[in-house]
Amino acid sequence: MAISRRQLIAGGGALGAGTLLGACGTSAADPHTITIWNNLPDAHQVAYFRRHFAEGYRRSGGRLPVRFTNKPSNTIDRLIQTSLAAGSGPSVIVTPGPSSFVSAYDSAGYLVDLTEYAQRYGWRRKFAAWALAASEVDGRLVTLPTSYETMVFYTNPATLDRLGLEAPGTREEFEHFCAEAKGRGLVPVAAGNADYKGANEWHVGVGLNHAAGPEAVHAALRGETRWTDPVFVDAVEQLASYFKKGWFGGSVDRYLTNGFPAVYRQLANGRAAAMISGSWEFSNLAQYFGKSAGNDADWAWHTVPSLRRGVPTQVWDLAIGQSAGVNTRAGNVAATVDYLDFLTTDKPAIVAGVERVAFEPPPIRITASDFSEAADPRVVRLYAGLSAARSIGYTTWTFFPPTTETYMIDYFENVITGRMSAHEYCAGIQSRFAAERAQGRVPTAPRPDGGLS
Amino acid sequence: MSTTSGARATGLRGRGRALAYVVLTALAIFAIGPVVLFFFNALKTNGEYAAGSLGLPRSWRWDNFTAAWTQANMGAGLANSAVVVLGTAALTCVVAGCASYALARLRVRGSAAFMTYLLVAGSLPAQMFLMPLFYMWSRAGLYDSRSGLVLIYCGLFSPFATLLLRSFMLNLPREMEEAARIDGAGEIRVFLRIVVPNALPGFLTVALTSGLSAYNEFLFAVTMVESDAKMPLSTTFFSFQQGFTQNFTLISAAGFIMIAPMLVLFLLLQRRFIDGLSTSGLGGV
Amino acid sequence: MKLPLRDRRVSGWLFMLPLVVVNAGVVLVPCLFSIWYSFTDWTGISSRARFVGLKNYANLLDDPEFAGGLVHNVLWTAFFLVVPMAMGLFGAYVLTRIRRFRLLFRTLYFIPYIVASVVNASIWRSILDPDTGIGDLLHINPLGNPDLALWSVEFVNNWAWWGFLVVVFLAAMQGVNPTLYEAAAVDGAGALRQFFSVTLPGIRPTFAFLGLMTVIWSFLAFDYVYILTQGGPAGSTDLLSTVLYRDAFSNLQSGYACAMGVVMALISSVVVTAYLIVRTARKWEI
Repeated sequence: MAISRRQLIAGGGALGAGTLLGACGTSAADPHTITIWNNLPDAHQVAYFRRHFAEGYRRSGGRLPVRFTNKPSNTIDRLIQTSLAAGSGPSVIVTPGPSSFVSAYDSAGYLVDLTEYAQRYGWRRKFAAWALAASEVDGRLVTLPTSYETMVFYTNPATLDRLGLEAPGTREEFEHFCAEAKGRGLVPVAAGNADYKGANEWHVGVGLNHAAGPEAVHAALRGETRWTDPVFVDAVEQLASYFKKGWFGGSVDRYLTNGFPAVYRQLANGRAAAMISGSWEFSNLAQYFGKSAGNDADWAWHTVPSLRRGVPTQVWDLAIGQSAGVNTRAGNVAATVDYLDFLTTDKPAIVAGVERVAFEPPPIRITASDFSEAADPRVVRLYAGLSAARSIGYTTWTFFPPTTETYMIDYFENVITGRMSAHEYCAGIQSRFAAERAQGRVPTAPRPDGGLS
Repeated sequence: MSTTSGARATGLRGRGRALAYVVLTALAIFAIGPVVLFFFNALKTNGEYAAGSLGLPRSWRWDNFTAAWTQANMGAGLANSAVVVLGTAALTCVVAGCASYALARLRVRGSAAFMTYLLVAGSLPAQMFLMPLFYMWSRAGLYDSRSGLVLIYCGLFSPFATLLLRSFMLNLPREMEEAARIDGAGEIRVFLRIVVPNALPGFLTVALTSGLSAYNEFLFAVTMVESDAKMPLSTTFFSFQQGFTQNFTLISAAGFIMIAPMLVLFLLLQRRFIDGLSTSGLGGV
Repeated sequence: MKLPLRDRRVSGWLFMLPLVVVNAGVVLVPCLFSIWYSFTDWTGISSRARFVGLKNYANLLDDPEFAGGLVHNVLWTAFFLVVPMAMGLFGAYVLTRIRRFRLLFRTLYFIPYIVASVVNASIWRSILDPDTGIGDLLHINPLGNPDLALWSVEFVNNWAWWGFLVVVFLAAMQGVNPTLYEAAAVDGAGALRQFFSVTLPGIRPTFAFLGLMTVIWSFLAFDYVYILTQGGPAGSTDLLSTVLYRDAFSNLQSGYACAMGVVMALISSVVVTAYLIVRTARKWEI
């Protein structure tokens, strides 16, 4: 099971589906087919992809048929790596973000340089500038971002009404919220990493961006300050104290054994007051709320509260949930690039996917007006809010280099179980980050007030 | 040669015996209880399971098994596992059979050293040679193939199978072989016509144990096979239980389907399984 | 000139050929490659590998995960040398002392051994679940507690393993000369004393061999940790095998992983060599 970040995605945004039956006996070398592997979480999304993105691509004049196979989230990275090493691999290579594995694949020569295609397809116009900047390695564009997302604070309105609480916006409000919920016997923030260790970095990222603040994180990402500065150590310390108080998951040991179904269920049946996770959960939550789940629960989202005075109350942590590159051994590179363009920039298909099966769109410019009347207002509100963001944060799987990111995931448990101090943890981050920075592996981070343009 | 009667000679009496049975029964419950529970969980509904995984099912949902069969793709998994198991058992019997004959009957120079090598080779961590093996297999076109997996399993299990068969053969009477040789039969004929038929129980044990190990094997199955169509049961079950919407009742049903064939086989052939493993088996060096 | 097949030495190696070929292809050659790669910076996803000398080995010394894995492996070995062995000996001995149902018990104890590790892990994960299983009844969450997790995984593995030991020990015990027991009984020894003075010495070769295999197999332990905890929580169940697997596949550091594998193999070899030396010195019949 890949301990590195593997997103639970509500659909790698617009990655196409193809026909069929899987089995990839077809190596990437077949010049008459484009192959793509993805890791969609349920059969509904898989079927939707198949119809609207393989046949859809062909219908809209695509050059070649697309063959799509779905793989489990926790094995797709390893499967891609082993098949690349075995000399084949799919035509479209997906990664859990622009930094995980990308530089390794690139230095092994598996990724086509997409820089020259950017001009032809006008990507610089279509994508948010920060997203393309984060997708570059050594100044070359090697992947395209296929989904973007942010962290949000989920609540169940009925539960909050019952408790007489409101979604918090400031540190004091958050701490009051949690203490109150805990006092009433609820789990303040439902959380668990048993199904996916990478969940650790969601919380670390929230701690850094909302307790240390985007300005501080941005400065450290650019190497102007160090991760061992008090602002970060205090932020990690503060986050760890929340875990130790049992505010996340109910207790540290529960956090370590809760799987996602348990987390969602707690939110749905009122045993938890909130959940902090990414916007990819929109599709996962659907199965646990409402008629299909046999209850009448509903969910709502809010921006993640500020955790320190001085940090804005509305910070949108930017993330690229999935990136896709083109295999240098693809049967037909040009056709594959064309397909990738379709997947990531065909707005009508993409918006339809967002509306109907809660896919995550790529970071192309989407506003509220792009959605139809039938769209879920929560979804519309999210993308409207994102595009108007005045303050952005930096998620670890998008803006941090790979070894540092892995370290942050792996050692977070040591901090919350008290086996490692916040200072030691930050020192570990600093040493790895400095080394990777020297190797040029830190993606370019946009300014904290940069917004989405 | 002592028999089981030796152990019975000084059996326990009275209270000692009753205590012994109590303890043994407790251990039996410890051994079987979890499996039985697992079976019960497979028959519950999700609601019943959430209420408690330790009780009896209230509604006996046999359809969980059919649901698990389709959702976890057990048909394909079972077929693939069958291919791999039979292939491994057959190939291991051949390879270990030939080698053990040589070690038991033919004078092979360096056989003692070779047997030590086998012992060491069987104790190496698989992870040590996993990556290079994977590379070699890819170059040879054996990655993501069931025959590639069979070859690997044969390589992994044949050292101990050889040692097992060798000690079995050492105990076979030599007269028939010597007679055949005097009559002018070549080694191959002696081997095929005389030794193999006499050593069939040993071969059966080797087939059962290597087959079982192949069926249950996890690490290589998960690493070496990527196509859904070729995955053996251990891999399909593993992916199923890691899936997103974890439905424990279905997972239990799928798990039970997976162990059912081996359980049945074991219960039918338990004498052979156990006796073979425990007597000639382990001692083999 | 073709040698007659009657020449036993030549035909001996001919019969050995299949085993040698298969073993070389699957084990020997990859191991040699592994040793080579351990001196390079191989990532595992391409064939590019630059020689870096002893750097990987030096890094091993500084690696807290390696040290942690090593410690956990030692703890694992200690556990498995004691608990399942004791349970196996105990179960087998009691079985030799009763008359009826021996076969039934033996069969029941053996069943966990034939169940696949993936399924076993699933069974126990459900039992230890803090919301629905025993965890709920006893209010414990062993798999989430860094201090208890390793014991819990060992416990689960033991559950699947000790029945095998019972069966093997039972067979060995049934080979002990009955007159020795009679003599001991005449001397006034009870069941317990007979166990220590007659049974244990009588099965010493099997006992020693299983001790050896336990130590060796403890270093190879992987499945249960990987499936139940992946080395967590907070690295408290990380074994060398899971650290190695993670370095190779998630961290893309296959050269480093090979170095770790070589060290593991060296440790195993030391143990096997020690065993063989002792065995030859004491001339045990195994």
